[in-house]
Amino acid sequence: MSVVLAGVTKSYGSGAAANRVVKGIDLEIHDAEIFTLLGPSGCGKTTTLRMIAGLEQPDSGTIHINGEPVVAPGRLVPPEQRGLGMVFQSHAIWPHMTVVENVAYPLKLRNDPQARTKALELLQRVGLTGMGDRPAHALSGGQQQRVSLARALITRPKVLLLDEPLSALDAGLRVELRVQIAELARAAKLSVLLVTHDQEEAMSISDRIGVMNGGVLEQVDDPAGLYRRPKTPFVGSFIGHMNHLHAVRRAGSIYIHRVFIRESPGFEEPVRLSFRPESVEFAEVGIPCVLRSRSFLGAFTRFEVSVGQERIRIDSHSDRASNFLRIRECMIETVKMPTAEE
Amino acid sequence: MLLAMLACRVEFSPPGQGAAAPAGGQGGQEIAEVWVYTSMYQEVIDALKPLAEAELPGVRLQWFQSGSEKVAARWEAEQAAGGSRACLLATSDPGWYVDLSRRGLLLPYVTPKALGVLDVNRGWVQPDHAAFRISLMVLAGLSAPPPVSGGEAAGSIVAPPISYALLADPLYKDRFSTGDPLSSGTTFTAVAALETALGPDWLPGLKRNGWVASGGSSAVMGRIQSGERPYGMLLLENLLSRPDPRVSWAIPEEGAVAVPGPLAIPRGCGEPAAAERVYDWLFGPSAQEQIVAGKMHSPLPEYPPPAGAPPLSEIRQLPLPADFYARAAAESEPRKQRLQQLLSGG
Amino acid sequence: MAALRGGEALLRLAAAVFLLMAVAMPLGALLLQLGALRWQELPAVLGGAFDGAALLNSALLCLGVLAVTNLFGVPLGVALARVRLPGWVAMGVRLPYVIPPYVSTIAWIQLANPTNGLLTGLLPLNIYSLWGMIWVLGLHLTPFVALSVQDALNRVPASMEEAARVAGAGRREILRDITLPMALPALLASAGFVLASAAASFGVPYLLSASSSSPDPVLTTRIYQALELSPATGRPQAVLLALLLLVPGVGAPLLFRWMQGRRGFSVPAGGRAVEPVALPAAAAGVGLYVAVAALLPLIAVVIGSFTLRLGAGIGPSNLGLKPWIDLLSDGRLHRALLHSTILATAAATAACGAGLVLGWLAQRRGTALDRGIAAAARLPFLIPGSVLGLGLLLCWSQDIRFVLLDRVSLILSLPDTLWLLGLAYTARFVALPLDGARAALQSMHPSLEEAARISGAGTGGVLRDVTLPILMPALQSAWFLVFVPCFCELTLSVLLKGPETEVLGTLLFYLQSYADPSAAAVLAVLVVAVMGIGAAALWLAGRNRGAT
Repeated sequence: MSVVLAGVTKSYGSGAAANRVVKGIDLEIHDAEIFTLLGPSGCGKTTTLRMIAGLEQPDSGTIHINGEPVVAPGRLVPPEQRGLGMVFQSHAIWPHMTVVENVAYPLKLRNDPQARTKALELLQRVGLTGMGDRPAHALSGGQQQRVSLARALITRPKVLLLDEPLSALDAGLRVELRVQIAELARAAKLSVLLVTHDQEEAMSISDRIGVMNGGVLEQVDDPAGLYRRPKTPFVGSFIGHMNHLHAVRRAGSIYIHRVFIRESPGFEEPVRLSFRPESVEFAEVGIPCVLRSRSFLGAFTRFEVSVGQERIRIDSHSDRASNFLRIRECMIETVKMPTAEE
Repeated sequence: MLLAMLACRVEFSPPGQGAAAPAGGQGGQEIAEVWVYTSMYQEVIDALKPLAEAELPGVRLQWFQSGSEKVAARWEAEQAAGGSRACLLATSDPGWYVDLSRRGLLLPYVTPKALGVLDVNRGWVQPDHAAFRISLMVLAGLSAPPPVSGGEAAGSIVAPPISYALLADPLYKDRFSTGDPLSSGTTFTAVAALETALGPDWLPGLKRNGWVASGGSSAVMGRIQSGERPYGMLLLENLLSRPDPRVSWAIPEEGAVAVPGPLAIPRGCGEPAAAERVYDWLFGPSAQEQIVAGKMHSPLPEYPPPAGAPPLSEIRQLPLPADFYARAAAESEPRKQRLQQLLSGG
Repeated sequence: MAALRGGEALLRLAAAVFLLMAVAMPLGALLLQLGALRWQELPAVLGGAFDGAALLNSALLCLGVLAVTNLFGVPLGVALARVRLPGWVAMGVRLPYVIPPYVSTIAWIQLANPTNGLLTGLLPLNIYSLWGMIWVLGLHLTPFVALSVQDALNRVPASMEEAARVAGAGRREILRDITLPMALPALLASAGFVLASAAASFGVPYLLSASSSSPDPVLTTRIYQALELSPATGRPQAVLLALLLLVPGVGAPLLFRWMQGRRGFSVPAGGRAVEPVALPAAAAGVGLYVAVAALLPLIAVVIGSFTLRLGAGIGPSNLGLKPWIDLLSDGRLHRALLHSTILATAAATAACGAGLVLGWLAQRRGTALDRGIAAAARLPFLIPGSVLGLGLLLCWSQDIRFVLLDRVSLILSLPDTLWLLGLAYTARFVALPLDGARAALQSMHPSLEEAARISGAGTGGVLRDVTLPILMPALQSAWFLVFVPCFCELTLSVLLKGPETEVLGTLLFYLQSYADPSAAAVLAVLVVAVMGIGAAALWLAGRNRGAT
């Protein structure tokens, strides 16, 4: 195990005003694995990463890196002694140094006489050949992030932390760089912890993903597992698009607008159905719907339709629509009724 | 912190034994360090330095020079902090010495040479302090001042005042200045003496007449020369050391206020024997000659007056009661507060 | 945790020692002066100290100086940032700050005294009144406001003003609605400095009010008068009055922080800067300010330095090189110049170092203790130098002996040394780099430092390799802000100097008050020349840095 977190919590402020941002996280990142913490902003993912880096101090819990306890009762290893590489969202390129000075800095601290040579080599590998002596602040955003990546890798760390590394870049560059990061990490057999709010980015390069929400790790799985078997509605809606329709349960079956959907034993109550755009299709009979828009996206066609007051999305390989829907697969959850006290 | 370390001196000696030994006592011959806190002019001190070195073997003089009131402030602060290193005090505020004497902070010492101080001025020699230089507060003004601009006398050219009392005369309204009695020791002494001699109405009269009290004698001289305030009360030594043919001066009719510059050895002096030698030396010929060269009068009759001034014995002096300095010292605090109120009043 | 962060512990220790020696002990010694009072004396001392007129005048002085500095400083700052100006004009804006206020006051007395000043009648105010103090101090402090505004505006990306222009705003509306609001945080920060400087200023009010037959007293001149009384009554009065001075100094930044917090925003940095426009009228306005605030007093001083006899006219018979030759060959000048150069350089450097460390701890660690320490370190700047000097004397006028192992005595012998003056200067002015460092740290992204931590640098390494170089421009300006007043410092020096430690401030004061005003004028010209050259060098360095 490269990184192990057990029962890690963190609050800001104190007393009644305390803001609990991480509410007890257990997590294991395997050797040579690309692991992503995914979640909306404010979910505690960056705080978790910063606690692993040593930039924040957990209130409780333990953290081990490469088998060494770095956070444990009576023990707190400062960030500079954790032997990590890290790339920041803001690049954090030192504007007063040249490109090569930025990259060579960690080696210089370790008194490596070949710091410059090694840095130039690495710059070549990240695609910045010949730019070593430029002032760092003169580079473009994408180039700065490559410098930042090279700086994180120069000490050959076993664990690389990436804090929203691509969010400040434009779309094309994001795709290019994330592929490059994944290649570099796999080649060096690095354990990578990526923090991002971009689910596409997470899905495309991760071995496993942990979805965080409200300071809690809701589910850890591989990308396909998360997409197909979301354990909570939040995970479902955060990974990929999720349609929602209100329905009712009566006599062990689910109905929408009096159309039978499927059997489902349970109380008679209002429920909500959640399903992916590709889990629903047009049919000759079924739930009545009205077509609102149709966009041809190449491999498939995307329809927006309304069902009563609600809107859903349908991705279909056919570009034909009809006035009825059929839901192939869905999750059912109970809708809490507002009670008098609330 | 590094600064503090570098400022440290390290002595390898058991505490208590070597602690009292002077730092520079190498070669067997001990050199006593005597600190003089003084308001004497820097030029006079600079002239005294080589003489002292030649004539006072075994003594190294260290000078702290500042205005009388700054010297007093520093000495008092050091005293409050546990004791001052000063071995001689030589400022120009006689009241302070009376006060120190009353508080028992001066060592009793009278140099035999001080016994020759002019008869009429016995008050200048006390058991624990004695005047070794005399400054005279005189009146001066532009010989050809700009004409009066307003009032009944508009257009007329007024001669410089010949008496302190005249400063309160409407003829001189807004046209005279003095030093600041609150920050200049000599001015304070002179104002105290004149208040005693001229009565309690004189100062309010000055105030009504547009009294400007700022800086020392040199500032008064500047205002006379520039014509901003063409008349003023200032020390004779300032007039003599920077003579200006346009400025004339006079011994006032009431008699000039003679401000003695006392010399005293404060208690707590670590080198009392050496301090007494310096004390004697300051009353001796080489120091007294430098005082005269610095345009002050020697209190001893055997020395000539400064160039351009009559000898002390021929100068009419403001008659003062014998206990003037003692009373002035006792009243110093209320007088200062009174002056503050008077001067800062609109 | 402390044990693991050795570098930080060392920094904290250094900060604590500095604070103890330079701030806590002197201020504590001053407060002890109050403790010596008996209860029944308290009302009398309070009554003696309290002076409604002085309090009111001090408040008016603060507000007036604030008004003048902003009235001149804001347009100047806008002009510096947005108008193409000749280099010498842009440089000249700094000049009024490098003329020591003591010197400019004497110059303004020559220029505008009500009896026979060269400009009397042209300047519609009585220089010897509160208005005169506001005028002289305001002109002196205006460059600080102007440069703050300029700096803030230079950071505003051009797109902000372009967006307003596209939205239909004219040049005037852009200035009013976009540009100036962006400069507001900088204006508030500079206002804190201006208020504190005005409240604690002594030389200008003293020289001007003392020359008046009906002087306007302010708190600092009242403190000075209190210190002239006997120690028993005077010192508690002075300390009580000095405590009053802390109100604007401590209160103003709190008030401004609150105001900023209510409509807080930070100007996003980066992007293209706004291109300056050619606007001859604005350039002429800047030139006029430089002429009135710097050239006029300088001309008066330069003429004074060649004048053989004060007041005898400016004819060829009364002008000569003698004052220059006399002073330049005077050994005292050489010693004082050497001492002041060493002291001002060392104090400015030490203050920047201490300010960086204290500011970093307060900004990056932000514990209540760190912030409290940073607040305490600002106090010496807020009280008059004479009171701080008194506190330092009470603490450090004795040798302090540490005995180790019964054999080795470590003697801390500060009195009469340059060390004591250096400590005093550093204590007095550490507030300037402290504030500067905190402001700069606020706009510097913490990830720059975190990246260095991750790279393997400890706290010391982070400060040395990342924070210090990035904060260098801010610290350079702060360094200069400290160097200028230290180079000619008077109120502390006059109390703390020793026989071998004459400095320029005391020499200037001595020459002006006891010896020869012409020589004082020569010295003033020299001082302004040295600092003018320094300011020009810094300005050029800054311009070159900006160009790359």
